[in-house]
Amino acid sequence: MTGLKEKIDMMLRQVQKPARYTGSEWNAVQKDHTNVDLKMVLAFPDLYEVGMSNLGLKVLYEAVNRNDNYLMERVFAPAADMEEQMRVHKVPLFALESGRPLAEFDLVGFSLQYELCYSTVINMLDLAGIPICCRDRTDSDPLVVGGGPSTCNPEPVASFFDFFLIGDGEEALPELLEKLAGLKKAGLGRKEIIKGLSDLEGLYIPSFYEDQYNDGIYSGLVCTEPGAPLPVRKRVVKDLDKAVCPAAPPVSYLQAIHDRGVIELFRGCSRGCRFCQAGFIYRPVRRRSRETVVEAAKKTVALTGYDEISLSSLSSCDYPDIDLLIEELNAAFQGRKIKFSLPSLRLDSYSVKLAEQVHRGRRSSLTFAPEAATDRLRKVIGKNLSTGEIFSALDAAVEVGWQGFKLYFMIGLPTEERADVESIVDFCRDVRTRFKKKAGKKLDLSVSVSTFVPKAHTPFQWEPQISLAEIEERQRLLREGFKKIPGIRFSWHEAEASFLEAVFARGDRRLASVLEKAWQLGCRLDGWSEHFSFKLWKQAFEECSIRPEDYANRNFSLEDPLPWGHLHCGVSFDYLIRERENALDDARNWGVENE
Amino acid sequence: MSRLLFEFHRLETIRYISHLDMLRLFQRAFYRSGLPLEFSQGYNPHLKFNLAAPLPLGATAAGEYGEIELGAEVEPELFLDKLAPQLPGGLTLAGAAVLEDNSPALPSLVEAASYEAEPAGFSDLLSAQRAGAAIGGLMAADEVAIQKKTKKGKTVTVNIRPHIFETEALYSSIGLLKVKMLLKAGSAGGVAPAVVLGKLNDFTGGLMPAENWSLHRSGLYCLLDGQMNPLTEGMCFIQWIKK
Ligand code: SF4
Repeated sequence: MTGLKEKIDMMLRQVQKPARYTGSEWNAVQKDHTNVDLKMVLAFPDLYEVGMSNLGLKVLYEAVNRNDNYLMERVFAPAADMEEQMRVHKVPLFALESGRPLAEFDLVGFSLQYELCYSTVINMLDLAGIPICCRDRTDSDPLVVGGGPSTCNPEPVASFFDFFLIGDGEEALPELLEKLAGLKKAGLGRKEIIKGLSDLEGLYIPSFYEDQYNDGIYSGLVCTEPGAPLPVRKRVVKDLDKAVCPAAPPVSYLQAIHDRGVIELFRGCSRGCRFCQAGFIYRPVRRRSRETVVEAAKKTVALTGYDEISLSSLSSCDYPDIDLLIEELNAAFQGRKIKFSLPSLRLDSYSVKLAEQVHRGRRSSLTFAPEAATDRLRKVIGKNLSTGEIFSALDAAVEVGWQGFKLYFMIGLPTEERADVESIVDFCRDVRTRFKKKAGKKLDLSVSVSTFVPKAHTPFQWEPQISLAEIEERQRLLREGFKKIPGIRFSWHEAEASFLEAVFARGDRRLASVLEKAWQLGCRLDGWSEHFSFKLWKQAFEECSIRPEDYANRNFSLEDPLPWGHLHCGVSFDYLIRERENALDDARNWGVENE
Repeated sequence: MSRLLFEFHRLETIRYISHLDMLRLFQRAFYRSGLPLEFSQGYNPHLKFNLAAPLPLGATAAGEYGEIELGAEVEPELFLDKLAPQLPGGLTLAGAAVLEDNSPALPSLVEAASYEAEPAGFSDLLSAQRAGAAIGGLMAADEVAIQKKTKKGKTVTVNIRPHIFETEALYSSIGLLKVKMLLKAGSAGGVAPAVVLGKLNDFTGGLMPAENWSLHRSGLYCLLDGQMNPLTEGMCFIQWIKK
């Protein structure tokens, strides 16, 4: 008989990129399982190279493993070839560090980055041999917790999770583990343990609330557990200078999507673009001081060997004294070939200058997100830049030698009209012509268009997504338009994937049946177009007698109870309502002011 | 300025990484080591560093070599002391030496590689006989054709028989121990061990699938006066320092 190790070796010899499953990376933490109070595995419902690029994973890994009493290992979604091997050879999903099955851990924590990972979560639970619904789990099964941005409306996956941690995790998770260790030591059963955790700030236990419907329409949650908080408030880390800044994360052997060190300059964004969930749920803005950032950069380089550090945030140029920071970093690494990168640049001349300083000819193209092509629509969504300003920023970029741009736009934004869509084509044509005149050489221009997805906790949370047919129609318009302009690379997001995202972004607990069905039909890794099958999803909705349009295209009224209304993610609904009013006013007044 | 040659072994824990992964792994280890590094010019400066020959994914190895240019004189002892703690478990340094200026570039020297494949799950006597027969068939053939995709995507037929220098099966009283191969390798072309094992499998009618072999590369060779010699014989260095 072959042992487990031989079996796994044989599996690894038959799959693509076997290093996804072998761990033992530089800085990976190996701890003795018999020597800790609590064992947790962080599960990332996407492929290794995506998960290993995630900043949250690095932060939590450090936040837990720096404490000798706990251990955190990692597991990622197996690719299709590996899943097949695991199922054929009956090998349960195992954690990378120790190779132990997930079922042997006390806590399994899923990082929920976006809605299209849900089927993969279910698949990973199943591969691990953990009952997918929490009501079927017994005392010997691990507890299952979810965290990450999608938990600001976790209702569609509520029945698969014992609880969620809402908001910043780096302080909350160690607190959770400490509590959990105490409760486990006391020999309590699953139910009592969950109850015992309930006073932890930021912890949301879905089974303590019951969802109610009136005539098939969501009518609110009722507390079924005395003392359960309502609303549940997200956790906020107050001081980023005192918070964990992971300088020694596991360094993957195979190339991660973002294969570099990363330091978070600040969390949150003060811009408040009205469609942007990140801009609201990560509030308030908290920043790391220059000293902390420079120190962290030095440590990261010394401990990882990365030659590139990304200075990350939602809008890097909004970091106060960013010039000074760059200067200090350059001084600290003088003569060492360490590169820095600044993602998420704003479209203004200042940012262009900054980009030039930082990227110094390493990159040939600059990425910007005007989001909308008309001044009117940009005003409505709160992206307050005029086309004139954008063009002068692009001019400045061309002058300092950039040879191309990547431009990101969105269709289906509230109040969008046909003219706004057509303007995207005109806008890009103008950029191209302008550039040709200016630089006299060929411009490398690529344009990517996504579809607006109304998200919970934004001023547009009540708005419908445009219908699937309408998305396709507007995409067709764009394709036709861009066909006439040579030399522009045009790409668009799959309409059906955006539609599905919209369904789950504002979904309620009834969608759990659809998720389970879709998974049974074979849906997983839906973020990858080679795996995404809308046909299977449609079948799942049909078999569950649920119309996805009722979610994606629903226009909530301000009085309607919202399925995520019991969660407080930092911004009050009153404020969101005011912002929504402002947006609609902006749309109405535009015509008047500009006539 | 100095150029150093070093020997390393790859063990089981990191056998499943690719050649590019290996290059990245070493680059990061060098960055962490604090050794005085030397870079190429240009916007994307890179280390002047090379491995002798790509290791197949999944293979362990002993007797692998790399070379690196450093920005200052560095004694091999110091080099080993600085680099060793920066290598992940599963990668061990065996020794190093300072190369002389006239020493040829490492990859250009490689002429052949020796491999040992151990069977996993089919090591009985019957398999031993089958392996023996398959090897006999393979070595007796004048031509061993494989299909290969060119860079342009066209499929062409290549005869790999000239690239197979030696193949032999080792037995014990209870069955097959391993298959040893000496195969052409290096920048002028060669054949991957998995391809040869695949051919052996064909000779057994599919009874020894390639994924059932555990692969080990035991050595690299260069050609001196028409003779295969250990790779280090082709390099010019003063003194080999063992780790
Ligand atoms: S779109 Fe960018 S700038 Fe606007 S709120 Fe979101 S993160 Fe901030």
